[in-house]
Amino acid sequence: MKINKINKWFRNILKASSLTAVMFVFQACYGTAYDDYKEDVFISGKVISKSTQQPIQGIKVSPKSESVFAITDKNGEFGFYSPRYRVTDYFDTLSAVREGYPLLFEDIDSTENGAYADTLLYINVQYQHKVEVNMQLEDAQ
Amino acid sequence: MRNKILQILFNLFKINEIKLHPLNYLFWECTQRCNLCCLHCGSDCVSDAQYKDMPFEDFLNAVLPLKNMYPPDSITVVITGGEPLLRKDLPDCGKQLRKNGFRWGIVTNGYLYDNQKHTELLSSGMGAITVSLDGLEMHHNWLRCNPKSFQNAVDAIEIIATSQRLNYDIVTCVNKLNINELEEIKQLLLSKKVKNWRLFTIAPIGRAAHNPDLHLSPKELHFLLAFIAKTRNEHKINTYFSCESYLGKYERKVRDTFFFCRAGVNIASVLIDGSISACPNIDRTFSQGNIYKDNIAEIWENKFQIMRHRQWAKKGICTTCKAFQHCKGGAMHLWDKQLTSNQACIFHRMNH
Ligand code: SF4
Ligand code: SF4
Repeated sequence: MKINKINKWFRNILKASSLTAVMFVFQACYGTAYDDYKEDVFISGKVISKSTQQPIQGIKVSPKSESVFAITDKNGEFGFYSPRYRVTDYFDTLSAVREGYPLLFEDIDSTENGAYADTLLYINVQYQHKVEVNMQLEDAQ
Repeated sequence: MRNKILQILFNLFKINEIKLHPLNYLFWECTQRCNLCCLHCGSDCVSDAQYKDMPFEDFLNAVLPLKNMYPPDSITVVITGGEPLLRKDLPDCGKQLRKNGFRWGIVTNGYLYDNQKHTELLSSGMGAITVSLDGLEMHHNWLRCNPKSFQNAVDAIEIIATSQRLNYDIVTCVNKLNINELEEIKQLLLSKKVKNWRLFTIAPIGRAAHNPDLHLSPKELHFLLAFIAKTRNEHKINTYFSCESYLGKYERKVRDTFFFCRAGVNIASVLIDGSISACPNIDRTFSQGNIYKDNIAEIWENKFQIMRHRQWAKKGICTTCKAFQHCKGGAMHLWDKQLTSNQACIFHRMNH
């Protein structure tokens, strides 16, 4: 038990030192590199209709202009992993500024599951690994 | 002198690592189906596989006990095959792994990798990927036995190289036919903005055992390692040799650290039939248990002694080897099932 503590202590020192940290990086012949990325977040939640309060299927949820996304299932639920973006968007005038992670809800299946207005929401994902967003979409005009 | 001191320090690190044996690299052979039929394949995969794909629940239930031993995000699950992209449930499997705290990545021939797959896998939390590129068009297609495999792999590489999120690399199996085009392959990868390139040789296992044309001569091995060392000095693309052998004077010139076979020390695998082993390219008779009857956490803790303690390996070509104290018999995947000798040590081949 005692030896194990010393071994762990020795390991931690080696790992923390910039000279020896490289010893911990390896990859088997037929394997990938490690995934040690720390800057991503799981964004999940539920999309319902504001007018009927029923779940909506077929809504694409994504960080605007990035390649990750999820489509809501029959329960209106979605979930996807994404790097933590933070953008500042300027609208018509400089006074109309939005900041944060731009989460876009898009009705991509036309009227198949009803017709809803696309909505852009700015959320805070800083330092978080999991964020839950419940959204009510307005009917399309 | 500096190298000698570093080697001693590294040997101490190895003893410590073997004692602690933290598992942080777990292969999952999720399918044996494959869409190509490569000449050098180490896994003897076929389009009509002997085993059905392993149900994901079986794998997940088996590995959950590991969460009691290690923080799950310190374990990267490397999903391999066969060709993992043939599994339609791959993004769901990955997402479930990630939700349970594990990290994950895939090893692919790139044939089916397109923008849609890329998006689905990234959205499911994939963090690492390795794509094979085994030469320029003619030789890649020859090795992969498919006229479109080169173009599809290059298209996949182009997509992957755009991702800031992925920890990826391109692997090249160096053989007699592509060794003279390494410089051109390098230029191709640079033009695609690839950051990491790993090279390895073809070991005489799997289908490659019966094809001596695939194996490099001592002269070609020297050429390859010198090429890697030179490319590393150029600092244009992070190039390195795989873990497959102790390399004598090339140690640390072609990799960041010294040779260390981590099979059973940091690396485990769950194979298609549920066997628990280390790297999937190790002879399957060295399996240490089976998820359908054993607890993987207990197997990891108490078994794998043959891979962790290598004094037995001082036999065959290793008997009189001066490097044994650093190498300990080399790559576990190069030992035959009777443990008579390491079958293809590069250091030995280069010096004999
Ligand atoms: S068995 Fe082979 S692939 Fe696995 S760690 Fe050892 S040298 Fe690398
Ligand atoms: S002969 Fe054996 S001990 Fe020597 S370098 Fe090769 S594998 Fe290692």
